[in-house]
Amino acid sequence: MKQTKTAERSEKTGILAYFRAMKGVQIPWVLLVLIFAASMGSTYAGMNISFFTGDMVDARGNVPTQQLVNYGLSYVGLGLAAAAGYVFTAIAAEKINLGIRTKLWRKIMYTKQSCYDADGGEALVSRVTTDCDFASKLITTIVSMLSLFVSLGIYISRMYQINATISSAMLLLIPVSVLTGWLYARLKFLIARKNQAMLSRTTTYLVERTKSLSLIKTANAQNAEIANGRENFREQYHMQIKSGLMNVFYSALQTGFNILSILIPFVVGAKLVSDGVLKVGMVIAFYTIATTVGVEVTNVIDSVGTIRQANGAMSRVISALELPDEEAAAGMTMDVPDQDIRFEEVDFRYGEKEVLHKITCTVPRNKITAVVGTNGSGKSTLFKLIERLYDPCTGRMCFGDTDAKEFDLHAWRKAFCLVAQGAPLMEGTVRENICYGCQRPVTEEELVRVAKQARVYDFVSQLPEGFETLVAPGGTNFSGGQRQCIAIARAMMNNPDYLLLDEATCSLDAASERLVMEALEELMEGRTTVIIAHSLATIRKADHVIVLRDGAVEDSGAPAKILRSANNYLSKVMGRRANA
Amino acid sequence: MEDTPLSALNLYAWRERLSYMNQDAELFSGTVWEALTYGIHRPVEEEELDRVTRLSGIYDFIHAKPEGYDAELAIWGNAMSGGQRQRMVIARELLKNAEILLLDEPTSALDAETAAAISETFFEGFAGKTIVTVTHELNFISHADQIVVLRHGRVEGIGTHDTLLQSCETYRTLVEEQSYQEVFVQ
Repeated sequence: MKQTKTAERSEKTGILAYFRAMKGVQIPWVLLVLIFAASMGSTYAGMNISFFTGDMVDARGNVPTQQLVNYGLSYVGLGLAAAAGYVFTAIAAEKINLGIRTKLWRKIMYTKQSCYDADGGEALVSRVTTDCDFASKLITTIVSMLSLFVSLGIYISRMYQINATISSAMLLLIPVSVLTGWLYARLKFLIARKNQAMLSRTTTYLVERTKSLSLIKTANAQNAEIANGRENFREQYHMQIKSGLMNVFYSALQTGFNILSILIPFVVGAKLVSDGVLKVGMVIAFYTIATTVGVEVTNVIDSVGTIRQANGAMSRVISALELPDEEAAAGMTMDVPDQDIRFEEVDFRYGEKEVLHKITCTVPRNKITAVVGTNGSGKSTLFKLIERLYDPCTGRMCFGDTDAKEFDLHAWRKAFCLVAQGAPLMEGTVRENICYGCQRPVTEEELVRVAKQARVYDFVSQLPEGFETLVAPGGTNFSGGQRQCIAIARAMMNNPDYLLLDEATCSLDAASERLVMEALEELMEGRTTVIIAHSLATIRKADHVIVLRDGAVEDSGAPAKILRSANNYLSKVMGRRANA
Repeated sequence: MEDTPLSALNLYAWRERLSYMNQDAELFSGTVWEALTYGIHRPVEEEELDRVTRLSGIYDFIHAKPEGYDAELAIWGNAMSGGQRQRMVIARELLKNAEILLLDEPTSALDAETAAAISETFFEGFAGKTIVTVTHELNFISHADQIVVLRHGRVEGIGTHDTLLQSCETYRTLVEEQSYQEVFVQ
């Protein structure tokens, strides 16, 4: 309960935060000025049309040709100005959206990894795809409000020139139309907010279920899921009905306003005509103005309402933009000789959960270090700290004698390369996958040489498209071992000084495993390597072993020493592999 | 089934007799209760949940939180480790109590200790059931009553470890490769 309240409060965002978020986004000023000009043009043309109409009534059938031509031209002008206004507004809005979307995506790239712990970052997808659409709303609405005020000023001064009494009476219409618009906007906002919450629930539901359709089938839970889905869709149905009803309510309000905008000019006008102060045609002109201006005021109020609706979306974009960044690219470069990496009393927590506790250990340079431990002992977290995806909560990680934090983050990461479990491939060709992250042109010879070393060449050259073969989503057109080898080729191409390997060979069959091992050995040649070891063979090949248990260093040293003192824990980790 | 072709059986009745578990340990978000009783088409008592969660070794984890079975699971079960998710799945399938278990390398994403503990749970919890497991782990294979060797979608051999070593070339290669890993690399 408490949580939902905070969430609701954070839905509201001050205009200052909005402009902070827009910093760095290019505002299309020229277009905004053009929008304003187009709006002035249509005000001018609209006013002319109103008064020409009045004049025509007063001409009692003898309308001069020139006036008819002017009348026609004003209509053409009105149409052109309105069309231009629409086009410019749409372009300006999309330019702003493009800007904020790019800014947000850049931000996501540089946001601290810890910000993605809770939801894995998936929630950011809708920030980029839909929420950003609302970014332009505030700016375009400000422009249309400004145009409205100026048009109102022009209308009112012109009206007062003709007759003050009827003009004053008609000013009454302004508060009425503001009220109508406000009511409409308020209702629309309430419905939209519920609608968004409902849609995001439905989306989460659908995404989760469609990803595990086979579970639904084997659990024979189709009927239950149909009912669940229907419940979600029913909510959507009710929402749609509600917004339909709201439109009915709005048109009732609008009709009320229309009646008023007929009554005021005609009642007051009739009196003035009978007094001989005003001609009949002018009454008609005033009536036309009343309806035009009324519609304009309502439209602007409606936009103001949409801003409130946009506020929720925008506040989510803003909060994403205000997430903490990784340290800016300042600090020492890595063009220094390789050093040992030393952990000094490092504690680390994900939120509340303590993962590493007073870790003190060394990764010696130009050596192979094996890290051993059960699931959850902190092995992967150790890697994440080395990659500086996270900073230690207390204690330090040092490069030689220097705190790692003092090095430029991007230079640091360039010196390290992780070949992870599962070896994720990306969309694109094999070539693109191998060269990913490689910020230099790669020659064909180099590609072939690396592919051969990584044992990729043989299977790729058998494919009809060779290196241009497209990787299927999830890399499913390659076997686990092949994916692993492609990931190894990528690491070779990036030529890091330090290698972080997750020995993920346990889900491979023995032949693939041997291939991957050969490729890995080529990769490890001449580099400082840290490997999360699952087999005794790997431990034996290492120069140094770190045994982790429940987030603490249980033991470390040469493999012979570790194996001699081989305690129960190690054999638990290795299972049968330790007894081999 | 016996002499009836599978396609002649009612699909839903057939699936009701199966439990399928793979290395992804799929769970839906919602409460722990909902996740555990997913696909169970009968009322479930709390004692029953206690029993299966104890058997699968996830009881303590669930009851460490004050909400117990009413605690909410995050989407994709993100807040749990692979072993814990797999134990949740085992509890769910124990509750389902199907006759035939299909295990698609359910422990391959786990470390040796967890994997060993979980396979033990499988064989204890599902004692007396028909178990079909996809695996390449030799020690797993040696417990099997029957081994089917597949290669490029074809059956290369059916039998026990000993008969296959004699009769099946592919099987022999697989075993040799594995032994290469065990012996030679060291």
